[in-house]
Amino acid sequence: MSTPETASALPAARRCACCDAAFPLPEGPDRCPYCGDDRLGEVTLAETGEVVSSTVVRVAPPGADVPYTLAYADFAPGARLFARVRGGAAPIGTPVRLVAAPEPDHYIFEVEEHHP
Amino acid sequence: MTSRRVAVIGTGSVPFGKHEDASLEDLGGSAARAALAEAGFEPGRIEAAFSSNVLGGGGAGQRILARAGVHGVPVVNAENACASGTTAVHLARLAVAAGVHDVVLVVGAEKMTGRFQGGITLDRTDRPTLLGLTMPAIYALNAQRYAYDHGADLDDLAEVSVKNRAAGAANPQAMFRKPVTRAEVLGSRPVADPLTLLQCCANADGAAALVLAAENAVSSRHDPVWLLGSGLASGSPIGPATEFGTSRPSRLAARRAYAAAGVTPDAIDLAEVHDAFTIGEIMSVEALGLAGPGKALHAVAGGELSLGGRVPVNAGGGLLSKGHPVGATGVGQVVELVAQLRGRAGERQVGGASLALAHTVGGGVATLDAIASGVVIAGV
Ligand SMILES: [Zn+2]
Repeated sequence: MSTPETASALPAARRCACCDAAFPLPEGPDRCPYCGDDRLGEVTLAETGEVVSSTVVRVAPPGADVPYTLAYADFAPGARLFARVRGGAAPIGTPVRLVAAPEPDHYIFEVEEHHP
Repeated sequence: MTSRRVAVIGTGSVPFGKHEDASLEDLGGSAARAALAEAGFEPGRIEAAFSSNVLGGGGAGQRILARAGVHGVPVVNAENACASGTTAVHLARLAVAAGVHDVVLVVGAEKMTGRFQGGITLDRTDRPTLLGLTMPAIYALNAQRYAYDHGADLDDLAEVSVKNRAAGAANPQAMFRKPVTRAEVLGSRPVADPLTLLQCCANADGAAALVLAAENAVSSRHDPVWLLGSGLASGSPIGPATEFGTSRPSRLAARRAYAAAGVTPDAIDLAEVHDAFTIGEIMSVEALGLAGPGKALHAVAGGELSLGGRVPVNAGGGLLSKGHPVGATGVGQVVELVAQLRGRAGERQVGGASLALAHTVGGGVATLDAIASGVVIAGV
């Protein structure tokens, strides 16, 4: 499904031994962002997750181009990620792919059906 | 722990709105002097002061209180985002209840207009904020999830604005005194789907103040309203366990306030609730136990939360009508509760009110589900 480039560019992820939450590295390089524990193991996040909630932002601070879509989505095992969405609306329950992106995004969500 | 009864014996406020020529110190000083005048106390009677402000920089309390002749006494500057004012009231109540002080002053003030474009931004360094997660967007995410989980019609959120703006029309202190229709709310500028401009409160300048006293300092010239309990809670990082469409910090603050006051939600006669956005009132009303999970939107549409309904919520117009001078908001809510409980709320009076609640919840740093929430319960 994914090209080797995008797969290798995705941020590495960690999983917390204390609370089981998983997260990509930019979220918390040394400690779990949810409980502060430092017992972190490596984990591979599922490529496809599910939108927990999303909104289309139409008024933004100066400098941002509107509209844009934002979402939280869950990726196994135990990651809830926030990102901008590419590929249109992403109502709750929509499958989205995790795709690497330049800073400050680090990663974005891509609506499944728009991907080859 | 033995605890003394705490009364509000003086209130003062500067109506929320645009006060272009007034400084933060002017606004707060006016409210503080008005509260002292109502209590009939000279500034020298104040033993400690609790000031709430978010945007005015360090030592706002001391700068404000200098305008009210309050010098030398302990001053605590409270900053807890939108819950700052409630935090100051909570700390002041505890100081009197614990017997540390007999008479204290609370002052909340904010100078906001002209400072922000496109909504307030309190922290620009976290990744969600850099990616454009504005305050309306955070509430919009909650609204979408609420509708999904409860099968609600997102357009019904407009009824919160209709209710609160109708209430604001009857409040001479409100910033907006023109009622709005459902069609006007839904037809106003889209901000973050499903929220439209008329579902978002306005930034404002303003101030509010209270004089609190222990029972032994209350005299026959006072018309005391008793602070029966209060509670404070903080948010948690948004993560796998976060339940969008609900407010856990508000639930925790409410639980603590109800426990402190020794009352249950069904005894509340009226509530001033944090309606910074329409969905905020819905989530808050459920967190406060004033409606069951998934029931608050129906309660609004059915008139249960309107003046004359089961438990009027934001009979003063709410933040949607009054505006939201962040640090002043929570103190202003208590000023409103006092007017209601004294039976002096005029056209917006809730008949027979004897127990009332005020609630704020503040966000701002988007990695957390809130910064803080505070609840105050008052009665006569
Ligand atoms: Zn953890």
